[in-house]
Amino acid sequence: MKLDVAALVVGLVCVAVAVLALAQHFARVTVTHLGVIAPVTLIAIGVVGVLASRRNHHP
Amino acid sequence: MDHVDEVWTLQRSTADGKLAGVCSTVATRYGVDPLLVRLVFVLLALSAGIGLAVYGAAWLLLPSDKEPVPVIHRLLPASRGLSRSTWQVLVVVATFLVSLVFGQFLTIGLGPVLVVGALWWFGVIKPRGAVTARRSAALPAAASEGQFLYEAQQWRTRVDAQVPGVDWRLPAAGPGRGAPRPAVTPVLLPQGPSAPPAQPYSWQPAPWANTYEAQPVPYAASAPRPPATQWPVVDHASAPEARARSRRRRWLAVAAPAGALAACVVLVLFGVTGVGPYVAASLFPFGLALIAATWLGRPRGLLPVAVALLAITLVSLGPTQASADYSYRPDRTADLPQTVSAPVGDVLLDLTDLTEASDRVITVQVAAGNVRVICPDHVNLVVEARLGAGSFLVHDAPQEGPGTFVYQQQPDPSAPTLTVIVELALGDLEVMAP
Repeated sequence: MKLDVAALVVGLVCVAVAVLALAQHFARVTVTHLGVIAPVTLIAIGVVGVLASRRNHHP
Repeated sequence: MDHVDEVWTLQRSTADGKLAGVCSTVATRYGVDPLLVRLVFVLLALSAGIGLAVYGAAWLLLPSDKEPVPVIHRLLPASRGLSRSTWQVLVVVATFLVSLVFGQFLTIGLGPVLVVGALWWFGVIKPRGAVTARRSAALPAAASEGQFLYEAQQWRTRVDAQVPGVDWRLPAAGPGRGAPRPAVTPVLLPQGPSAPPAQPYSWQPAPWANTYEAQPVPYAASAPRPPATQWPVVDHASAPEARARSRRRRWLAVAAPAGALAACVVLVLFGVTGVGPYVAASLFPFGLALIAATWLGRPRGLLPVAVALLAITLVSLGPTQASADYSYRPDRTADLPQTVSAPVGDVLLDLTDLTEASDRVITVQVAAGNVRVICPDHVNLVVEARLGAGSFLVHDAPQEGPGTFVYQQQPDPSAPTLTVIVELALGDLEVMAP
């Protein structure tokens, strides 16, 4: 079955940003941590997107 | 064709598109990788939101391959009478306004726009113009008679190569538009003594085409029809699957806003204030719905709404939290570090949530950068600034360094006092008093 990679990647980014924003408001996540968390999360989501895209093109 | 006019001929591709098909359409028309175009639009979106304005304008104004009427004409039927020039002016004005709004917190600036514009012009538009010019120079007939006559001449040249001795060349000066067309008759060229006598042209299949031409045409009118059992069988099993997929999409389309509503209700019950948490809480179910849509099918409109909520959430995070390299927002003075040392960078000390104070001294040392201290309204606080080159700002009244400056507040003289010593070599210290 062909995956909707765009939905997957945007969905993961939305969930990550929502969690981050809520954590920023309720748990006081400092920007020092954000400087590590944000790039790692984005790279991980990018890897997931690339893998899903490869799965679509090379079943 | 003028480059601006060429943009109006674009037709959004709904098959290859991810959102509205703008990037894939541009990529296809100009022969660029779609991923590259999408990255460029993201970069432009971060450049004061210009990419968002351009993308939105393209979505509204360009028809799609499924719907020949542009979206703006369906939304605003009265706008059908506006000319292209008017729309171009409106797009420029809208882009300017969007850049004014988004430029306040998207601090990348307009540099990427200039770089992308230069790369696009010199890397895509100009090479295309050069190729077109070279083709035009190589095709004098095309320049005088038009592309159609040129293609016709090329076709006849190819036919001539298959049938020697027949000259299909067009006359040097063709008839104008509307003039009676002369009957096309083959002209026999003079032949040499060794050449075979020329024959009037009659179509024969090329030798290489004999194999294909010899194949019988299936289901031709004269051919007997095959038995009904040999006709293609429609896979009716896919219809329930399509219906189930549509049902799942509808379910997701309802679940996402319902989840957002439920999350907002929970926040209301907990007495949460501010727009940011509500938008973030609404974004969360939309993100989950999109992840589910990866397998279940994406409902129409889910992606644009999620992207809009994502943009609002990022905006609501705000520059005060996102722009500092070292940010602290403690509830108790015990949570604060004894020393904050930053060779280069911005420091934010947000003390508005400080509920429990104690006699304590905190030292902030920054070589180059800006320091912002947001004061609580019910805690005794002393901010002592030792500045090199820079300003000390309290209540928007700057005092220029170098020097030592002090700000203090004492709502309760008997209560403990928090002392913040800022040693800043190069940069500004801003004290945001209550």
